[in-house]
Parts: sequence; structure tokens; C-alpha cells
Amino acid sequence: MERHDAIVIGGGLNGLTAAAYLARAGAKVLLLERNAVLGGADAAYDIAPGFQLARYNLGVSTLPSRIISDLELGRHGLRFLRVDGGISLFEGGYIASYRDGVVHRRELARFSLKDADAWTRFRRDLLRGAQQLRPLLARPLADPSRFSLGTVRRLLNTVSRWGAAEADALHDLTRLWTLSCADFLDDYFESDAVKARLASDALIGTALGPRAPTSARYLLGAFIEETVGASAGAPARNLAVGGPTAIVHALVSAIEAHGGTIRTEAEVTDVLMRERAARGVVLANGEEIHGQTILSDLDLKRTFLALFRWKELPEGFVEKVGRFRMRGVSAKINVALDGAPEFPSVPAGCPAVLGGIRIANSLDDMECAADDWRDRIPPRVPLIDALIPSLADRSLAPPGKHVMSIAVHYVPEALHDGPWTTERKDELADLVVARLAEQSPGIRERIVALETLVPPDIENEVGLTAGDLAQGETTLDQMFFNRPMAALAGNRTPIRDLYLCSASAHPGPLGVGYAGANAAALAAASLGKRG
Amino acid sequence: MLLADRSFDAIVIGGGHNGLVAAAYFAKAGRRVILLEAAETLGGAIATGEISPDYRISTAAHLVEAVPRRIEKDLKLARNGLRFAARRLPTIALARDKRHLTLSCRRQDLTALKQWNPREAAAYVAFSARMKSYASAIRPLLESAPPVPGDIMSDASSIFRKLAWTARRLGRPSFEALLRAIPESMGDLVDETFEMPVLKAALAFEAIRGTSEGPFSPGTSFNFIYRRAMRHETMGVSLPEGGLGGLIDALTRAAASLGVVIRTDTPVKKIIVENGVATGIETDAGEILLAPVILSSADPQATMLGLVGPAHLDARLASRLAHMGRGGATAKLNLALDGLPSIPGLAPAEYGARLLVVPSLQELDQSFASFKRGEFPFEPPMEVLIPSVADRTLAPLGHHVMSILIQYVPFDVTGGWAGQRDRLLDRVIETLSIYAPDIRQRIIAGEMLLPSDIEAKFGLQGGDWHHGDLRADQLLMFRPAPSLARYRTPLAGLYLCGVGSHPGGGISGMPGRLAAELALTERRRA
Repeated sequence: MERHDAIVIGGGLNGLTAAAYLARAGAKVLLLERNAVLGGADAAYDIAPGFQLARYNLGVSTLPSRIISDLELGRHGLRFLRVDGGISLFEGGYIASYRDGVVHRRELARFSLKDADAWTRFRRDLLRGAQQLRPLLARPLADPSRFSLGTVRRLLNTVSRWGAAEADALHDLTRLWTLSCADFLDDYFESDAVKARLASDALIGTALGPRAPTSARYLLGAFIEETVGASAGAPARNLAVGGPTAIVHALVSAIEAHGGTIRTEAEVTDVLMRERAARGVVLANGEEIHGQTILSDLDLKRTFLALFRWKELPEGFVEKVGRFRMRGVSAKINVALDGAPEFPSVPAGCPAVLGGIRIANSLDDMECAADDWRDRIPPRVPLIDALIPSLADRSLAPPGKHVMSIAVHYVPEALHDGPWTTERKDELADLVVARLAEQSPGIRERIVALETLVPPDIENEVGLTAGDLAQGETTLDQMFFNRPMAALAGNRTPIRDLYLCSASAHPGPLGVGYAGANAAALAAASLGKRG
Repeated sequence: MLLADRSFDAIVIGGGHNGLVAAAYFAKAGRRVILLEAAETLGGAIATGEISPDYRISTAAHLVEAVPRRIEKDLKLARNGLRFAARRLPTIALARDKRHLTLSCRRQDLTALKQWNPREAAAYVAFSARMKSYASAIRPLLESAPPVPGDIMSDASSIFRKLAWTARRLGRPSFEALLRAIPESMGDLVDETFEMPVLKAALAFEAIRGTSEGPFSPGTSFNFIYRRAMRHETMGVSLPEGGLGGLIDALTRAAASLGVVIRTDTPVKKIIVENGVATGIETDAGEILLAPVILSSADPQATMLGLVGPAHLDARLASRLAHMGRGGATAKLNLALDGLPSIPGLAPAEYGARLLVVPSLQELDQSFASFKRGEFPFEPPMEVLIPSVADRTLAPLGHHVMSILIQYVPFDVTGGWAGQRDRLLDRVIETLSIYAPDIRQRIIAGEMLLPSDIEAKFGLQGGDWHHGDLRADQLLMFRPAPSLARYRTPLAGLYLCGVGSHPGGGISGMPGRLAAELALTERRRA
């Protein structure tokens, strides 16, 4: 019978990161992946021969720089392209985000001089917010419901670090974390185009509309990895050379370099228990593998509801897991194009196009789409975020041809009047293509292949409950010491030697990879390996 | 022109309930106080008016839920004529299928629910107990001046000590649930707890009533807990005899008997500032009145930007005040009826209850969606009272008055109110007719106050009853703005004592009391 120090269930980015950290710490690691391809939502596939893109990834995948340097992923071949933040198209015009501060100011000044001035203040405030947030992501959080002396002291440290000395700073922090996107942006900007551009940046992949309280904090997302010294413009978008799958390859190479083992097409069906501790896993073919610690890269619901007999879990735990809200909010449309689409309203050669093309007319449209999502109807004015990665990275499509990855937001997992059928998926795709065609008239004729994937597809293929790519809603009642739940904050679980290393654990989608790294640190410590 | 008598210790601007409470507390300490009210009558939005001769009703606010026992006792409100026509008013959620649901934790009220759906009844009892314990956990924060954010370490540890104590009392599971509940939306919270649509909707309505948030807006369950904590310890929701004007009459009598000089019809034009110190006020008529302490119960924005003027404020505070989040989303309809409308399914004894018209969470959310689009809902969510059932002084024998709070009415409606006013009235009556089929025939007179009317009539900007939303960045040490918290202003001698200050919300008198006490201590020290 096989024995390992650590078994990682699931080969998504967090699982791979956890395995790489553990292997680096000298543990004998085995990673098991159900599908034939690693990477979970970031797995690469060919939509047509020679046209490659990430199947479910919304185009935002990157790893925190700390993890890239810890695991020396550069040596394993990982390169990033830093491109401008992208453009938003609306009726009769466009607005772009540039990395260069001078150019970005000039762009904002096209809409409002006041907004161009406000940008400096906005950027400063968000960078400060990101700086306050960053230390919380990189380690497991204290659990305030435990109230040991150590916990209270850690929390006090956090509070005093955040609170600074004056009321105004604390007030700014409160506003950033509790206001709605619309209210927060109103404090800085007056132009609707500028506000819609920033809000659409922030709210991609969330269920909240721009007028929902607490949605302002999503504005921080783009600034988390931004450094103060950078050139005062909009945050850059980082694209991995070779697509998100390049990150997967680099992590695999790091795991193997440290002697870790990876098995694909190995579906785990059960966790073996001994004396209330996890001792191994059972595969779908009946094979048993033993390990001292188990790390699960599956979401919270799948981990506990699928891998365990419910009576093995503590009383009341299953109900709590059931209450963890996971709801799909995004669909993905993958397209192969036989030429670069043209956008007549955007000047030729605008470098920001590399960072993505977004169609978001106004905050009201986004709010309306979010309302539709709650009413469980397909969005009438979806938030569309298209990326043509092959513009920057020629290796992804045959010469002169392109792939386009379209994330469509505020798409419910199930419709109020029945499931997603092929016809309804086609209707959604038609709507999205029509919206794109308004801005790029020739695009319909360029399409050689198109595939629409809605949340149920994501659930079936990647295994994410309800197709929720964030692995649990990211409202504040499910973040920080509430993620995945108050008594289970962080990566520990009620089962001894079982750690949760997926985005269902803190910090969730705020920094993909951190959950894996944090869980690996806990597991390594319990194995007696250096962290 | 200088008033002859200028020997006042304090000037109170605004004769709403908080102004009256502040003046009374100040005078109780043996100080000479003058209170100035711009309107002809005291009370602001708390008043009893006439719909038509002999039909009297609380014009705007129609319930008292948060005046604490302490203020009732300190100001001897009972001796000054405050009588209650009804206390501990039960709440009944009306259902389209005529199986109305009584929400209350009294055993006799729950028997019906227990027979109907025992599991739901048990869940409701547990939920109420949970909410009650959360409310009592945060109540100490609301009964004293807000914490000081400046000295964060000492203050944070005192808050943590309080929380640790709370945690021990609540027990761990309950504390965990609180951590999750505070940032959660009320819609999600009740959706995962209950199964009956009417029950879910009624509880969600309590969380969003009077705000411009939807049932699924994150953080709304905190509104519910906050409101529960503000509510009177034992008496819950009450109806003063003679309408809400009865409360103001008692407060006025209390203040007068303590020696407060009250002048109505005296709008204040500006607050006189000398070298960063507020020294007095000037009225519209040009009178000048000086006093070492000035307490303003007017809206913080109106006080600071209007009466003091931005010239005396730093830019940050001025812009913060200009951007205050306020959400007027409530209209009021008062009706005179020639008889009790018949509501099928409602027992005769239940007509005096607080009636909620909110069929389901989804419809509540859709009403909110129309509100966001600048339209009023097709079937507006409502809170309905027939105060004349308990209080015979309000209408001629056999006749009644009905008071209706209409939720999610936007301040500006798409297309303008001119043509839409009657349509809204029609929608409200039509919605009521679902539950009370004969309501239309019973109406003999009525008046409707839109958010804009409420602004014009009572000086509540944006039609917001609370002088600024009760949301996290406008609560506790941030209410109404960080540098105005704890009732002080950047100007020595000027204090804020209105509902815009901590703990805000509703008819409580707490801001008035706490501001007066603070001003008194500071005077003693000076």
C-alpha cells in the first residue's frame, strides 16, 4: 500500500501551490486530480485545432508575487506580460485604462478634468487600503470566537495596525469596506463613463451590483498586487505567457523538481478515517492510499458533503456546510476568430486593447443585470469582459488568427423556469455576440468556433458546487474569519490532519494561491517539516 | 438688535423630540435654557394633525418604539400627561390567502403558528431569542456616548472586553452566528432559517423599513439587530394617546415645568462664531441671542453647512457632510374612514395591531428594484395602523383613521410626481383592497405625504427621517462624521443633539439626552 506524508486532493492552482510548498519543505507529496488535465478552472483546451485558451478561467489568473518568488516559478519557466488595464466600450465611445500615469490622466480628462485630478487621490486611498489588507492574506487568520489570550492579542494588533491613530483613517477604512461601489465612487468621480469603467473592473465575478452595500471593497482587487512606486496610472493586468495554463505548468515543474508526485484521472471518493483523524483516501477504482495529512483543494461543500459519511462529521456541521452560500454568477464563452476583430470607435493601435475589452454602459445597467441574476433570469444587459490573449501572446493561435475568451457576468446557475438548455445557452451567446457586434461590426463573420459554458457546465466538469468560480460567495459574511465559517476560519477543519486549501478558505479569491500556501504551512508544521 | 434677556446658559435649536429632551435635561441641572423652533408648532415630524375636522392622526411618524424607560422616568413623562393607548403592539403579517401571521413571542400569539407549522414556530422562537441576545449585546454601546476612535488601543481593548463578556454570555455557537449575521443580508439570513414566505418577508421588512436598502443588501440584518436594540426594553412598540403629538405635548410640558423658555415661529438664520467658538445665534428676524452652549437638533448638514457655514469648517468635513448618505424611501398616507374596513381572516381583537403588507421576499426585492430604477412599486410594501381602534379620541364614534407607511417610494420619480401622485395613491388603495376589499368605499378623506412633502414640511432633507442613513460609516464614532462624533463639533460651545448623532434612528430621545449630559459635564469642567 502506498504511503505519503501529504496527499493533496484536487489539482487547481491552490492545490498545486500547496503541493509545491510541501514538496519544497521536504515532504513526500502526492497530488490527485480527477480530470485528465491539471488546473481546474484554469485548465487549457483547444477550442479548434491550434486555438488554445483556458476553458473556464475568466482571464484574471495570476499568482501573488510572494508565491512566485518563494517557489522560484521564474526558474520553472513562468513569465508574465504586463499590459494596460483594458478598455470599456459604450455607445459612441470608449474609455481606456493605462499603466502610465500621464497617459491615464489625459484619458480621464477626456471625460472630466475633475476626475483626472481625483484619480491621484483615488489611487492613493486604494493603495493604502491594499497595503492594510495584504498582511491579512498571507497567513491564516485568528478566530475571534475562540477568545484565547493569544487570539485577542493578535486581533488587537490587527486593529491597531489598521486603526492608525486618527478617526479619519478608520473612517476611510470603514467606508471602503462597507459602502456600495456607487456611493464610494461618487466621492471621487463625476463622469458616468469613469465610474462604470472602475465598477465593472471591480465587480466581475461577484453577485453584488454596484449599488449593493459593501461592493466598494472589490475595487481593491486590482490594487492588491500593485506597488506604490509604479507609474501612477491604472493597475496593470498581468497575463501569463502561454495563458493561465503556463502557471499550471510552472507549478507542476516545481512540484516534480522537489520530488512530489502527481496523478491525473484519479478521482478521490472517500477520505479514510482513523480515530477522528484523516489517514488516507480511497480512489474511484477502490485503491486506498495512506497519508499523514490530507489537503483538500475541493470547495467546502464538495469536500465535506461528498468525501465523508455524514455521521463521521461533528454534530450540526453538515447543516453549517449546507448554509455556506455558493452560487454561480458567470458564464464563459470561448471563441476562435480567423482574424483580429476591429473596434472602429477605438483608435488603431491603442495598447490598452491588450488588457481586455469590456462592455458596460453604466452603473444602472450593471445593477439591472444583478437584479436579473437574483430573479434568476438570463441578464438582459450582461456585463461582458472579453480578452483576446492572442493579441499579446502569438503562441495561442495560428498566425493571423485569434482566440477570444469572454466572461459573461450575472448569469444565474439555474433559471427560475427550468434548467439551462442548449437553446437558452445559444440565446445567451447570441445576445453577447450581438452586443459585441454593435462595437465591432465584422466580428460575427470572423467566428470559426464558439462554445458557451454556463455555471452547470462548470459544476459538472470542474466540480465546483453551483459553478461558483469564487468557491463561495465573497460577501463579508463569508470572508476573513467567516470564511468558510466562523468556527472554522482558515484552513483547519473539524477532522484532524485534514486541511482545506481551496478558495473556500481564507482569503478565497482575494489572492489565488494564498489558501494553498497557508494550508501547506499548517500541514508542514504538523509534519514537523520546516515551513 | 440684542434681546434684553441674554442670560441663558444654553440655546437649543429645533423643537423636535430630541431638542426638547436635550433642553429638558439641561434645565433639569438648574441651567437656564431657551429653545427655538422655526415652525409654528413643536415636534417636527412627530405630530398629530387633522385629516379633516374630527379625524386626527399622527401626521408622519406613527409609532413610538425606542424612548427608553430612563427618559420616561427622568422627565416624568407620565406625570406630564403621557398616556399610552396601546403598548406592546403585536405585529401581524397579512397574507393573500387570509392566513395572517402574528409575530410576537407571547405564548398565546404563537399557538396559531404552532398548530399551523410546529417546526416553523420552533425556529421562530429560537430566532427571536437569538436576535434578542444579540440586541442586548450591543445595547450598552447605544446607551452611552460612542467610543473614541482616536485612542484606539485603550478603546479597542474595552470593546473587546465587552465583546468577550458578551461571547461568554451568548455561548460560542451563538457568537459565531453573530459574526456571520452582522455582515449578512436579512434576506439571506431569513431564507436559510425559515420556510414560510410571509414570515420571511415580514422579518426582512423590519430590517429595511425606512431605509433605502433592499432585503438582499449586505448588512441589513445588522439593521434588524440595531433596531431591536433600540426598542423599548419591555414595552416594545407603543401608541401614545392622542397620536404622536401626545408624546410631544408631554415633553413640552416636562421641559416647560423645568423652566425651559420655548419660542416657536423663530427660525435661526445663523450661528455666530468668534475665533472658533460658537457664541450665540441670530434669528431670521435679526435678533441676537448669546449663550455659552448651543445645542442643535437640526440636521447635521443643515447645522454645519447652513447655520455655521463652510467658511468655519475644514474642507474634508464640508465635503463629507455634503456627501452624507441619506435615503428617503418612505411616503405616508393618512386616511379617514367612515367605519372599520373588514379584513377577512383577521380577528376583531387584531385590528389594532401593526399590520404588514409584504407578501414575499421576492416581491419585496422586486419592489426595491423598481425603487432603484426611480419608479414606485406596483404593490408597495406597507406598514398599516388603525390607531383609532385603541384610541377613541382620534375619530368620531364608529369612524376610524388609518395610517400607512409606504416603503420604497423614490424621492424623484421617473417622469415627475405631477402625473404620478394619483397613480401611487391608486396602487396603494388597490394593494390594500386585496386584504380589505371594502376599503375604497370606507374612505372619506385622506392626505398623502411623498418624500418631497416630508422634506418640505418637516425640514428632513431628501425625505430621510433619520438625518443620514444608519449604515456602518455613519454609526457610532462616525455618526454623523468622524469630527462631529460624540456630539461635539470643531467649534467650542456648539453641540449636535439631533437624530443625526449617535445612536440616531427613530424616536428615542437618546441623542438629546446624551448630548445634554456631555455639554453639562464640559461646562462644569470649564
